[in-house]
Amino acid sequence: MDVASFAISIMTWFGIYALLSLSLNLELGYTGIPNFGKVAFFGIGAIASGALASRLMLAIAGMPIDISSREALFKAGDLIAQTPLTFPIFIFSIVVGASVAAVFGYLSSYPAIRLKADYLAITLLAFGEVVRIIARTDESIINGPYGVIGILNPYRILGGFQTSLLYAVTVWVIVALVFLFIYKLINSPYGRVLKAIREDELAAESLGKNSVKIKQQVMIIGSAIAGMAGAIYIHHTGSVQADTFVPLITIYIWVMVMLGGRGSYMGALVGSGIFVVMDQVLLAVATTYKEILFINVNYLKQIIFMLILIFVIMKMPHGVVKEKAVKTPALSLVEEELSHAGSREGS
Amino acid sequence: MLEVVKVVKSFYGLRALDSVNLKVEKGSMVGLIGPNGSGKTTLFNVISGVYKPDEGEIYLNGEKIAGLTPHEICGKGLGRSFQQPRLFKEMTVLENIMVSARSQKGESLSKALTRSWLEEEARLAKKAFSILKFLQLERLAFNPASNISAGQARLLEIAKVLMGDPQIALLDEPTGGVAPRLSEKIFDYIRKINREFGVTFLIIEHKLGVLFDYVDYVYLMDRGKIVLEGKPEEVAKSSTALEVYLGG
Repeated sequence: MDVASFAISIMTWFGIYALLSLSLNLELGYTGIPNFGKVAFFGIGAIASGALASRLMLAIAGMPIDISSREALFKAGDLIAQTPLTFPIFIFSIVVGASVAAVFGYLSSYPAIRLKADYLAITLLAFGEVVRIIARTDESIINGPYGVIGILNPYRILGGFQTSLLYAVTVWVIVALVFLFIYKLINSPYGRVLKAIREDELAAESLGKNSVKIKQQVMIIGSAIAGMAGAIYIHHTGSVQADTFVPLITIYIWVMVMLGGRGSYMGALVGSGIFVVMDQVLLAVATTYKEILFINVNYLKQIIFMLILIFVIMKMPHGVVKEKAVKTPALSLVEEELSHAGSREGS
Repeated sequence: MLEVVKVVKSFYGLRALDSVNLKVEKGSMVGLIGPNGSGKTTLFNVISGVYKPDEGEIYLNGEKIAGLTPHEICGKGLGRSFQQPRLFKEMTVLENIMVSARSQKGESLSKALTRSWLEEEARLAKKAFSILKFLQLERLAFNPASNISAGQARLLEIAKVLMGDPQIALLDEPTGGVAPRLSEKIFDYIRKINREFGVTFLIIEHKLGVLFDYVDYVYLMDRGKIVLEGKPEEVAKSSTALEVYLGG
């Protein structure tokens, strides 16, 4: 792979991780929901959009709906790639991935309301595994353990570098829109309430904030963003396999958020950026020196990331980018009042 | 305005509240006193919806509120402070006060994304600043709430309640851990709010000397029961109060 293609690949992965990181940061960083089942919603988005896109491709190509047939899926892909339908399929697939994940986010918000943080973390962790195991065993969803392949990249017709470049640009347009949405949401009275719930739920309730409703809303939004990332992921890799969505992915997303800075939208981007670069660098180094390495590359990577997580928790609990006050006009107005008061005192 | 009727609350067989009756008239300032463990804070927790009463009824402006959630009760005009200030520590002092205003437009998910809340936000910011100024906390507006003294935390806790424009405020030891001079200042402020804005107060306080100078009526609790009620001067002279506090 040449340098440009490598850079484009990193940018695409960065975009996918940025979405996951922004999503967890909204739940954990701003609202204090310890979502240890993040991978479930990423997986649900990927599985739902994979299940839909593959069937849709076969239906449009006029073939029998048999997603276990790799030849049929490849053939359908070749046919549809020639038509202008690839992009609408991609968008529809993202909408379905996000919507199905949002529905599951809503359902899983019920324990989020009733359980204390550690019990909730365990419940969501188990939920992630349940999703993976169901998708792996029930062949009617994504062909069980074999998964589905041949999912179309919306720019496949262009071929090679252009396909990857345009896909990376599309991913980053989506990331920018999600970022803008979260930025506006956080820098509003709504964002203040999220932080208040995170800090002290009972105190927030006593001030009239409906923490149950707000936590449900956050779980729905966070899950929809993760589901969107799942759909983008499968259109990038061209396949969906249930066993991709293991709990380790959740831990990686936590590393990104903790490293970047909890309660900071910029931190979510920085954390995912550092993670992706380190991931790729470690992979490159490990591949180069694989003869002299005494340990499997993947294990080494995991050990290093866990050491980073421990270091961040102990030495940099706020992460690289520190949380900032919610930016509303109240900030500047009070600053102004203070400077007036100061000048009055001075005169 | 607030009426507590035969309220019972038990924890693992222990009756923390034993058929408590209490009435707070609109516009009044009422004190709730009693030794530690007498059930005062539990009563606040039951009134404000933190606990559901096992028996009895609670009325706010004639409407039953027993069993409602804290946010629903707050929405009906009841604000409260906590014995240990429950501040949002990673947020600034200003954010703590701003978030305490009730039913803000921008707190709805759909409106947060529009600009429809900006005008209200500006109005609330001015109000927040005037409260901060009155309590001499304005220089701390941009400090994290974790970075203020215990006395300032008490003031901030009161400021949060007042920012919510309650019809009735339950204050749990508003001057706990605060110097006597500042205690009087806090009570002066509470009385000012009471007189100027008609906010009704029910106040738990251990500094009886200060409390009795400000409140219109006092309830004395002991072992989960109201054992005495009356005007402050009557309660101060009562032998029951002496027995409760010193043991009889």
